[in-house]
Amino acid sequence: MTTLTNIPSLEREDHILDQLKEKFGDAIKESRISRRSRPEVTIAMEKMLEVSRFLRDELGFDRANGAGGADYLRDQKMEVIYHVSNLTRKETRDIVLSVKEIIPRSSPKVNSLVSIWPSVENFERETYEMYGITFDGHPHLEKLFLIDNWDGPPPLRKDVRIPTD
Amino acid sequence: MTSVVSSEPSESGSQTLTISVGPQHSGSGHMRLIIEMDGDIIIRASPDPGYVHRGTEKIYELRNIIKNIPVIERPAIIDASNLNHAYIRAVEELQGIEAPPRAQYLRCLLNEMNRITSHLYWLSIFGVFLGHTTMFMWPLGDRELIVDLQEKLTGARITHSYIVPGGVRRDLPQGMKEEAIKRTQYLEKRLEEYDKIFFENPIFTARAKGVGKLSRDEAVKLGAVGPALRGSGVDYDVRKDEPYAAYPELDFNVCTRQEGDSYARSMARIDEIRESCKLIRQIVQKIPSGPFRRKAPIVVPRGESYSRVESARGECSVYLIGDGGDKPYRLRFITGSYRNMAIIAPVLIGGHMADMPTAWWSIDYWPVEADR
Amino acid sequence: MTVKGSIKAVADIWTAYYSGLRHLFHRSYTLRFPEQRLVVEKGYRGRHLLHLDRCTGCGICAWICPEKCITIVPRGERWYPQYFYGRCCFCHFCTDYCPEYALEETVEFDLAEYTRDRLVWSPERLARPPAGKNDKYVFSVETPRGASNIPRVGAKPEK
Repeated sequence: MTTLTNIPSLEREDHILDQLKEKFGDAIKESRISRRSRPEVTIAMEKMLEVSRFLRDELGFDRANGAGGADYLRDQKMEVIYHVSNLTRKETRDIVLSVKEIIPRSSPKVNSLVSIWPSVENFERETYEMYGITFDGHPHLEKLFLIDNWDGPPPLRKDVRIPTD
Repeated sequence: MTSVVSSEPSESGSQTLTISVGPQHSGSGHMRLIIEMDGDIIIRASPDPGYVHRGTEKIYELRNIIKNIPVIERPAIIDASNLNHAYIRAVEELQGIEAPPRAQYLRCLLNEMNRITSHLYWLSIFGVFLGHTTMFMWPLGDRELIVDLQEKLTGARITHSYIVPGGVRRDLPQGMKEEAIKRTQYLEKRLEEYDKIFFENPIFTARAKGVGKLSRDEAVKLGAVGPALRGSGVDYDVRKDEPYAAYPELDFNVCTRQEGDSYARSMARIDEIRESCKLIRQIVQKIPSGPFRRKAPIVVPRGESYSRVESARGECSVYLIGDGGDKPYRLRFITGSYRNMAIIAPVLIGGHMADMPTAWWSIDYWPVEADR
Repeated sequence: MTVKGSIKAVADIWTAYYSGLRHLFHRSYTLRFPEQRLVVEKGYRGRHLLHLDRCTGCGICAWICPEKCITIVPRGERWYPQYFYGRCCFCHFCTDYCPEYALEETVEFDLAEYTRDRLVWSPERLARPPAGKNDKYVFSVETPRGASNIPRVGAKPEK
């Protein structure tokens, strides 16, 4: 029916990744296409704001579908993943680009992208409370879901074990 | 109930009043809205969610993929199968299997039924918060038409756990086709009555038209989804823009309204109920024969997948990271209401306090689905 | 508001009243529950029925149970599942995954009890066939006065 069986062309996805590589070169650490309309890039932390602005203004990714974190305890790293998509151009609305940045687990601190995509405000707040990742430049980085006097560790980190019966 | 939190003079000398709506569900759902008013005009509104936060994203990491199905459904039990569908599609993408065509149709059938029941449930709450008690009773009664069909199909009235990796759990029962056609036609007739008593009622239109404006640009920028976005004139629907399951083969329209006010958002939903009725009839007539379930392992292979579906309250997306075990390594679950949380403040600000229930409920923000 | 607008508003309000008033003659949607019961069709996911002769006590039901409401208890030489219905979410994955088809779903859904320990169903209690109740109403849209619950064709009359 969809996607998996018929092998579709991946021109549009390749084009996006090529443009990014051409413009930013070394800042693009890794890029791949997991399937049709799902390209994925890993970007150096420092260049994140620039690349995002380029994605929004030049490539037309005008809204963020979501953002979240992931904790890789074994590799001592964390990831912040933004899923961005395009709403204005109808023919590329199905493309969801994952933009990742890898951060060291010892000093989880990244630049906030609220200035680029205002819709990530709540998602970044949740990532902050759940993973303890600080977002520089976020307008009000407070707890979103957890209670205000929560003093435990960030609960979604992998070294936090919750008792199961 | 609402209670006075503080009342202090602002810098300009005028007195503002900060009140807190909720969280004891006085019209806010299970969440708190902190509203600052100047006279009767809302000048600041900030949602304070988290009262029904259950940490499901942590729970998903501790259970295997089959045990996760009932938990995935819990955030929005009236829209359970749509959330379930998003999750199963992410799992199937990693496993590299695809459900047989008949299962895809059955999934769509249940998704559309869930969309109707969810919208009718919203309509009843919307009605009662506008003081129209008839509109509370009727949709809840007519919801029974579809809930009963769901019970025949899946064996459960609300939390179906029907969609599993590799297909669905049961085949279409006998007599379902005729019953579904009869009931959707009856529901369409009832919707005309709803129009007469509620949507064309001058008392309602006076309260809803022009209230809670959300412009197209703002809706796009803040990431609104679902009927809240389509009410602002954007024809965005995942079912059309990235067709999944059986939707590429089905014929339906995306219901949009241009005005961007409470009335437009409400009517976008009512139009969607009509579209869903047509879709249900199409599905039961077009459904192909064949198997409805394929064997699937209880394992999440190493990799990442991102899937999204159009749930009743908007785009619901699941981002799944697998590490080869039977549990997800990480499951990021973003629901329609969570994304619509961003548009609460712009919709309320600038309006009267008396218009707050209309504007607020027209977003169809479901706190449980947002908090997860 | 213009004169034309006011006339339309008055007309629309009367339409609203009229369509509401018409429903004074509509049949009721609801039933008086304990006396009048809706027919629950076969296939409904109610409580479980355990076939003691087929069960091998393998424990797959307890493993797949999302709510961990099943414990495997010994009965002489053999082992059987025991359900705690205070936790059961009636997903019936246990029924699906049973390799010996020893579990079955029944239409019995009214399992409320006064005490918590009465909610624990032993294998013997699970093996009992569901108690027959006088279910006689079905939901129909074909009645002349709108959708409502009507007695099933061939149902026993009320006592």
